[in-house]
Amino acid sequence: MATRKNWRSLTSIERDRLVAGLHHVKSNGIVDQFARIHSAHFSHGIHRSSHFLPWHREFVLRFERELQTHHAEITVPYWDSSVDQSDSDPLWAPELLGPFDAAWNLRRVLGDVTLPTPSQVQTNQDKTTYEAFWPELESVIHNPPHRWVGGVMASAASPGDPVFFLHHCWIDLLWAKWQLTHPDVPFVASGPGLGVTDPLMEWPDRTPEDVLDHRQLGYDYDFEV
Amino acid sequence: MEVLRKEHRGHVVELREAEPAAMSKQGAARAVGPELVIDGQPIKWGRLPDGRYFLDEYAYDWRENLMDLAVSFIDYQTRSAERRQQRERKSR
Repeated sequence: MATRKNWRSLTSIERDRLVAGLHHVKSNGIVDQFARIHSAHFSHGIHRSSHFLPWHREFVLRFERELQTHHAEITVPYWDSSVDQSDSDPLWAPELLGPFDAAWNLRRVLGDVTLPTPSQVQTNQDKTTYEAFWPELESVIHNPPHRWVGGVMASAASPGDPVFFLHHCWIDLLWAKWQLTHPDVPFVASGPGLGVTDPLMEWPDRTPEDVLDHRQLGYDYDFEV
Repeated sequence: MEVLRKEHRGHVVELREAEPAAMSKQGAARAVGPELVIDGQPIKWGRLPDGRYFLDEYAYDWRENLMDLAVSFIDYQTRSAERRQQRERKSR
């Protein structure tokens, strides 16, 4: 079982492996391919629908597997933007994600809009139904960090910025946490074609049902260990 | 062709009702509706499952009104430019 952890807990070896892995998947076209997939499906139910969380769980997992072609022990770390809210955090330093801005022409802003608060996160965790949980998670907690980073991260091609994956890893963690505290709450479709057994955009052989249990996908989070 | 026009912070926003022939020529149009033009440049937009608008370049601000979204995009671009200038001044 691979454990995903907060970027602040990465050892220097893990950090350097991640950075090298990101350069690897940029050089072989994977980053741009992921950005194109996300942009192409942006209006097709991967956002503002009950498939938002499962689709992005599958998406981050597939990206993580690509990183693991560089080094088998890489896992995507998470950026908790309700805690790490400064543009001078080491996340943006030369050793981690800072240099990608110029190297990949990401046009980051780092500071537009207000990031989510721990209180908003907790309020969202207390929601008792899936149909109340995901829309608030998406609009109140997920959207602001995209706009705070700005540039490519604020666009439909946001996976072009590697912080996309750290951000969505945190969103996935919040879903995993909520699932663990609400084990019997059912997945409710937000519309036709968006149910638990309906195919995910881009991967017709995958459905939300396939990704409901993140541990069955081969990973857990540091809070579970 | 009907055009809805608005000026905001020195920028000109236009919503141009596209001719049906022009729409089919575009081919790639992701949603039926007006062409959004800011300062003469076409801006790509789309709609989410609940009907809200987003812009390709500014995809995480969702509005029910495309003109409101265009105004918000201009504000975002203005703030972004100011913040980048601040950072450049700081780094000198």
